[in-house]
Amino acid sequence: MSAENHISRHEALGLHGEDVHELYYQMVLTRTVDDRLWNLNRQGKVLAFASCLGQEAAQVGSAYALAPDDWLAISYREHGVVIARGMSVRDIFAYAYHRDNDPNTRGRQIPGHYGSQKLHILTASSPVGTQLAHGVGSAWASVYEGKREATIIYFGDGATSTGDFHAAANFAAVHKLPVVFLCQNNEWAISVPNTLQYAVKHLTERAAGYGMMGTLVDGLDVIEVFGATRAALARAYSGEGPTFVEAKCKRLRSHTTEDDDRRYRRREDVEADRAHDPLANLEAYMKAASLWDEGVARQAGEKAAAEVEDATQYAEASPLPKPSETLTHIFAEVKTDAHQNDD
Amino acid sequence: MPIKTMIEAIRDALDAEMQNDPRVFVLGEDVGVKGGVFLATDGLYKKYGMKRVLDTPLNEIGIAGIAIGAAMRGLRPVAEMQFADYSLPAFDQIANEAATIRWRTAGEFSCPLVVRAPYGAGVHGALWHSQSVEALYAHRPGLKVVIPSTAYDAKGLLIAAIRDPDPVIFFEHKKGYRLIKDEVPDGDYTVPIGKARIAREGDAMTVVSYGLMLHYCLEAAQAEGIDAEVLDLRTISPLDRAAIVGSVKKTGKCLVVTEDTQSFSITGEIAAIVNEDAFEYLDGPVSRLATPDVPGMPHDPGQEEWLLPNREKIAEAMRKLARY
Ligand SMILES: Cc1ncc(C[n+]2csc(CCOP(=O)(O)OP(=O)(O)O)c2C)c(N)n1
Ligand SMILES: [Mg+2]
Repeated sequence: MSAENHISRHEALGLHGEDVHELYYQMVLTRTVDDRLWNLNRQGKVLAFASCLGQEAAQVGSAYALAPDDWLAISYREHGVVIARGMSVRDIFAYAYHRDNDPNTRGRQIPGHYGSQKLHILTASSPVGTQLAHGVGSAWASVYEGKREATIIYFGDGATSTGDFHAAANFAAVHKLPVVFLCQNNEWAISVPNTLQYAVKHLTERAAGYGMMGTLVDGLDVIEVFGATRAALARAYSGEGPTFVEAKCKRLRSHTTEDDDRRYRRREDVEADRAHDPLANLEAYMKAASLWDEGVARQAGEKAAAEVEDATQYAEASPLPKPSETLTHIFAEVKTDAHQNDD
Repeated sequence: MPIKTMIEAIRDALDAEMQNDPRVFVLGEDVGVKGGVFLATDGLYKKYGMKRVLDTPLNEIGIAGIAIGAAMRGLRPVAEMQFADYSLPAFDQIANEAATIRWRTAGEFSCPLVVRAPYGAGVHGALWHSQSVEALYAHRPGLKVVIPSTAYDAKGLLIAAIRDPDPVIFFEHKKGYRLIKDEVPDGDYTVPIGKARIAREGDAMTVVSYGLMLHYCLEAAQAEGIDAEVLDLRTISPLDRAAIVGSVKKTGKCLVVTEDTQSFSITGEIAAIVNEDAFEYLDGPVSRLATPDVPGMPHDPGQEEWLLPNREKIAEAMRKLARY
């Protein structure tokens, strides 16, 4: 593509150069967080986590399109989403270290299962697909209360095989709910490839079966993901119903820190996938659009590294919850501590 | 005070809470225009409209999961599972999600959800319209499980369940819907969740039961002239431990009666509680009467009747324990 084309792509969406720089920074920050968490796992400091390496554009680009009032239902891999949503890196690391000052879960969930009332992120869980129904329930609640809010639901290719996906897609379409189904198709569900997961060429073909719109996007292209998500949100706000957005991307690491993809992926395929890097992609775009100079890259890298270093130190210095804390918050009635947030 | 059937009391409770609280809505299969297959929601669709009395697609994962999402957002969904047997597709959403939301967020989110479902046999419903599944749900920390045995309690407990800030699974005996009638006040009132009720005072033994079986226990005690104290659990989880232990300390004997199949049913939990807290007071082994461990209820009325606990079997169990 020519430089003019590149410029028109972000400008045509109403994005300014500063927005592109911000998207770039959030992707760099996501990757820096991801790398550090992976390394901390290898040092035995973070017990487990699912990397989002390769999915930064799909995550940041879609979350960047959201309005503050919109709601999110997420899976366990959405570090870039919560960063774009405004979760502090300190909170992310306090969570990963099971610290008592983590606002997400305080040592109860595996790292990455974020949840925040403030950021409108419904609490994530490990059972694959369940959040799809929660997200639709959230959209139902918005319509019920007459609020102009959409709910975006993040899930993977594997999750499209669950009963929850079917329940959620069908219900949302029947009631024309303000939902964006944002599928990050990273080609794998642990070790099961797309070819054993579904028989259609693109998952977007499913959309028609539910009576909803389907949009296929290059999940390595943050501008394209942003544009598709914003268009889906516009449909949601105006009562046109849900949209299924399939963002094709690559999973550049093993499924989680607990998985070893050498058991099921050929090294040359992994190497080939590394060429599909959303950050390198954006860098090329920015160069073509004259939004790039070495200073931008260096500053972003240094800022992200400093944030992550600060967050690591913050988490390491923060206290752990008392082990007996685990008996709290089972029901509302038992008021045993200051963190209680009951009706 | 007006006499009402249990199904009327349930309808009353839903109506009262929908009136009181605009966040309350009902969802499930056939709950709308038809008013539910047992007519629990009869008239509500006309009164409150389709948004608040919602006929869902036939998918229990969706009914539960969508209700959970709406509950996390602050609404007060009352989800109907058409039969307790068909709540199992939603078990993941209820047991893995609803039950864990408050705990896993250390109190940041809650899930004020009610799941109602008709349970129980004796209506020739065969394998999949007869089950008692309370033990499955009661085993899961984070869920409350309620089973009323009177119309009065059905209304008061259901209103309490809807107002409860945590997920409550509410089982209603389908044979009791029209069989059970008693005085039900107009307007709203609550019966506390977690509190058992002494349905009949006595000194010779404690009979612990709930739901439809509670009535058979009362009738058996009456017919046998046994001075049994009959305890109506009303809430299966969390169990009213103090009420169970207090009564057994007084009587020295305990019989637990459930319509559920015996192994791993709540009868074992009650026996363990009595063992832990009232061992020195016992004059006999904790006894239990339940449905034998058969994986289904037979459709043939003769076989069904033969299999289920009834007044005569309860009376026999009481006589046996009294003799001990
Ligand atoms: C219901 C359920 N089954 C199995 C698992 C184990 N598991 C965790 S992630 C995963 C694969 C999910 O694949 P996909 O939906 O494509 O998401 P991705 O991990 O690729 O982001 C599996 C099988 C689970 N967590 N939940
Ligand atoms: Mg995948």
